[in-house]
Amino acid sequence: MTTVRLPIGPQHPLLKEPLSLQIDVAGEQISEATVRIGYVHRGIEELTRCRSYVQNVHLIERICGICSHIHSTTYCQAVEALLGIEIPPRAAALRVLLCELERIHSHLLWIGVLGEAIGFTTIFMYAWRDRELVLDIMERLSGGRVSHAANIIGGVRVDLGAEEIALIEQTLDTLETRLSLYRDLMVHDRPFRLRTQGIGRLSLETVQALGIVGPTARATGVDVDMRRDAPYAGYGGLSFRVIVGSEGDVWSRADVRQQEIAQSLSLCRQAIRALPEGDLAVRAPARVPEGEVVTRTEAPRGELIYYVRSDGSDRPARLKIRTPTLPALMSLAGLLRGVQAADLPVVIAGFDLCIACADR
Amino acid sequence: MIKRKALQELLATACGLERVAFEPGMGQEWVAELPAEAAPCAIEALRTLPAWRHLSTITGQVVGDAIQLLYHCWLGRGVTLRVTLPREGAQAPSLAARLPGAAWYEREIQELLGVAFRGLPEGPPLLLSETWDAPPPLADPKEHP
Repeated sequence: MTTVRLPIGPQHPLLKEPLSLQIDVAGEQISEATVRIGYVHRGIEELTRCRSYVQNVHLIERICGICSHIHSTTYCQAVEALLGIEIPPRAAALRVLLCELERIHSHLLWIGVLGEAIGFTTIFMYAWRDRELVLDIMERLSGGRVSHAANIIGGVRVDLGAEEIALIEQTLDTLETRLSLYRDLMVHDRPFRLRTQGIGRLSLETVQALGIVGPTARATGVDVDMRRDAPYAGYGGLSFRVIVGSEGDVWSRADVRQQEIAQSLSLCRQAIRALPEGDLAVRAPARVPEGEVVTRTEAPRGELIYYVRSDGSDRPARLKIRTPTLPALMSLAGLLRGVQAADLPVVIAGFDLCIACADR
Repeated sequence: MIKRKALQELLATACGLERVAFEPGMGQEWVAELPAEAAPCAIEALRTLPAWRHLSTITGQVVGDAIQLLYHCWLGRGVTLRVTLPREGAQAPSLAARLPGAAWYEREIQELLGVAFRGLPEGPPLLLSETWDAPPPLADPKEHP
């Protein structure tokens, strides 16, 4: 059978961000695939060495346009650990609130992208409509829908008044109601199930061998979540369930995410109902003592790890970032072999890849 | 829950060392310094533990006259293994054959710092352009103004 090589990307309507795929198609089946990243590599790790710790908060937020807050949270936690300072309880609770709002909008964005990939544009419209509600809150709290600049080293710079709390409570109630739509979709919609069940299935062995994390790993049965396993910010005092699936296919990943949204809604409510009184931040010195630290958090796509080394100056000597998309991307080429060409968009969308995060 | 002492003994046995001690000073992380060639054996030993979950990443950095590689692992808690290589002609054994998830992290360090990983399959550059012909960009860290 003749094999046709299809170059997909780095710029392609199928892709939301630049990524290069070379696909060999024999008939209707993909026989070989290669993946190439680096098209949005901005050298951010090295750029942090040119800026002060304070300036870096804003640079770090620009790694990703979806999960900007968790990046700055992880970075600030690392610097705070090097400084030996503890943020006020109110700041810790507000960081949790923003992290969970970010998780909700990230998961909704992904459900929409998946809907579009399978030709179910109604779901795309609904999910992105609901995501707007979360972005509205983000804008109200911080002034920014994408980059929030909510974190500072030593705490946060945003606060909630009675009016904001009422708005958030109301939005959470609306989202709770609308969540039933996505639950019904997973369970009852036959075309959705046919396009996602058994598609893009990752085995537990692959997940463990490549170190895949987050909802993608949990959908395969890996019970790891940094919010529970290495609690940070205010997560230690909150209760939630880590959602674990078993099938490892696109359907299972969608199911894990819609259940995680429910958990995030609960975490948001817990965070605002038990919001401690007090300061938003403690004063942090500009110069950071010599030392090194590793911090891990649970970004919407999984474990985010930062390593920061200080030489005692006001800039990092080394900052290393591993985002959860990178290990997931490693599995993409292998997973595409043997896939029907028509399922290619579903398999790619099924990973919830963030190329800007992976490239840094 | 893994025990600190048992883990130290496991690493010492796996690497053929008299003693391995976790050093303080990296937040919650347990950090052990190992000889350059010992990383594959140590990671292999950690992978036998029920608590093993994944290799989070590998950090490469220039520190003075040396290059450090930090293998960050997750076993229900963070464990980092540090190896130190000479800056000139730095090379280390690749983990990729035993742990495929290490391949891209090693490729990144190879590209940016110039560390040669023995046994790492050849491939296109990960982050840099195919036409990049200058030295690895982070091999000689600049002092920024």
